[in-house]
Amino acid sequence: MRKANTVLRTIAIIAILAVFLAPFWILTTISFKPSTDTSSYWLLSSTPTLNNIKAAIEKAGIFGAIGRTALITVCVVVLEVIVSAFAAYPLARRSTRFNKVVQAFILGIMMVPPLSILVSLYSIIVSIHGVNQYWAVILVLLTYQLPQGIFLYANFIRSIPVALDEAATIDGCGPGRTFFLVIMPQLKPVTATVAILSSVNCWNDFQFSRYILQTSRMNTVTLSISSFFSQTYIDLSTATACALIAILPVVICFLVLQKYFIQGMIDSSVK
Amino acid sequence: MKKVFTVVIAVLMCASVVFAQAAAEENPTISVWVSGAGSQVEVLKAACEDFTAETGIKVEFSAPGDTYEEMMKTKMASNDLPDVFDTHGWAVVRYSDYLMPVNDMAFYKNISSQIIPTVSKDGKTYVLPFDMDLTGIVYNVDVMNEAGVDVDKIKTWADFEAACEKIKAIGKTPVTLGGSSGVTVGWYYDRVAPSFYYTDETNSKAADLKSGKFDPKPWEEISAMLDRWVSKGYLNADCVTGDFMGDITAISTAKAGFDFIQNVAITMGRANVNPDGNMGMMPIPSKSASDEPSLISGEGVALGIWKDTKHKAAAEKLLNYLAQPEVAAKVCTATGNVPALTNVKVDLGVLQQYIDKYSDVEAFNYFDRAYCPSGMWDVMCATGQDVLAQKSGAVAESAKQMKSTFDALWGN
Repeated sequence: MRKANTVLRTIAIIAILAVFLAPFWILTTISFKPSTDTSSYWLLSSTPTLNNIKAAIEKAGIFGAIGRTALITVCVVVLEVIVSAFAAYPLARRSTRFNKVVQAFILGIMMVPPLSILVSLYSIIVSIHGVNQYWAVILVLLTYQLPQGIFLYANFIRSIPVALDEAATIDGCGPGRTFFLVIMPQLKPVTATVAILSSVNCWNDFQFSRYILQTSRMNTVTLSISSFFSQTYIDLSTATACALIAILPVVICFLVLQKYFIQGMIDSSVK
Repeated sequence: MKKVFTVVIAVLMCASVVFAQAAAEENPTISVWVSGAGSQVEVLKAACEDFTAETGIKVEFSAPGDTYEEMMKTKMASNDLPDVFDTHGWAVVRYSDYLMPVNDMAFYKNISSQIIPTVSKDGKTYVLPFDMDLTGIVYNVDVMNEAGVDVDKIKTWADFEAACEKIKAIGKTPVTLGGSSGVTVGWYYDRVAPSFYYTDETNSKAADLKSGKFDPKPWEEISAMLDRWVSKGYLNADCVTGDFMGDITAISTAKAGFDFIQNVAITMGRANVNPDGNMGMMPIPSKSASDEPSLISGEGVALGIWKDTKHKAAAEKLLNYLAQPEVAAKVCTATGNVPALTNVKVDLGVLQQYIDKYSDVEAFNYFDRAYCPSGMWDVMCATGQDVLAQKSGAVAESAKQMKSTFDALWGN
């Protein structure tokens, strides 16, 4: 019976793995296929080529795009962690009616579809000379990431016993010192969650980057990949080669940080 | 001392602003936006880089690919357009209010008289057109030979369907149409609609369309024809989920007979998929035997200058530079289209014989560009996708939607 269970479990694991790995397999096969090879995407090419990878590096400048995306992502994540942790602390600890309204308002922002405010947002960006400026895209992405960060931090901080704050107060700490010395060291798991969720969002962002970083020399990863698609032209081989290179940093980060990621998810869901 | 220091700083700041302004005017940076992707974009990008090297005027080049139209709509709404931009077939209907006429520019005299009416309104021409999109239906010559189809004998849509039957009989796909993005479905309507609305002079509805009256009945017939092709198995099995590149692959590898893509299907198919692809281009059949087959012509790659640009002189300099025969020829070679400038000569390769062969065939502008208000294209594509998917009532609904959108945009 136990043996049968193990076999079934193994089969299930293999099936799930196959489903998750299939897109990566197709990405790999197309990336090394010449454009003239019309065989199935599932099959490796009989005449594999590095031309697509070369085009991704030379034509699309994918490494430059990775660098720019990394810069934007790091800035957004660092600012988000700092600002949302600061904002969440009083919201979690002082449960006044005003704070509840503030929290509802912040959460409400999450419900606004970005596309619905695109024209007005773009007009503001133009009027503050933010087009083709990294700070503008960082600002907009940060604005859209903050509610999620504040929500996660606030929930996590609520699960930390208030007795710790009280003990710190008795020992002579003000709210600032209490936050830095008592609360902050305990935020590691939720910080990992916030960092991972928002870095993946920033890494994959397309529409804000598209509207703000308009010149080709400022292309981020997603913009570089999209430049191979138009109504009358699709260069799937180079686009997949770009995608293959571009997902590597994210995959590596995830593998390195997955312990924190899982821990963070558990900690922020259990009160 | 503190006061003096403050004054010095203030003066320095003012001076830096003034000098920065002067420097900006001497060496401005102009933004150039082009639609599309691939070789035509690469050619234009390289030309802009050469322009910068020659003149010192910097160019912020942007090719947003698939999102070009969407972004241009947002930019129009925000009144912040690029200094120079591609009008992708819409120089007059959509963009003329935002463009500066080019009638006084040096290249104007070289613009072909065939394209002038398409890119002009009230005597004002708004763009530098590089090529003319003169096209019909692309077919695979080997498939036609194998099926025993003589394309020159296809005069009406009934003849076309008979040819499809012959192609189907040899186990090939008669028509390849990958409708996942909707664009290819739009191209189907653009090619078929003229023959149902106005190529037959005795029964033309052109005047009605121009005065804001849309008759939905012919549209329903066009949708019914597409629906019939799906039912009879004339279209590729993945017509709902397939894409543009799938069509090019099928037509250039002799897996399909016809497609409804521009001539770029021939150039791109031979360049990217099958260098030996044996493809040709034929005129579009008519609805009735009393009418004649026709071609579609329209604006290809065309660049205009934003009327409110702060860098007018630099933008004009760029257009004059791009209009040079050797530069413009490269764009035409990349698109596989006929040059729109009379001083540009291009060898179009296999396509040239078909351009010459059908030089007497009457050509009409794209249906939606010539007769529909801006905003109809998406409706054409979306309702056509429903027809392709054979959704219940989609044929009648497509005509109904077209009529209601047409009326709404006309303000009827």
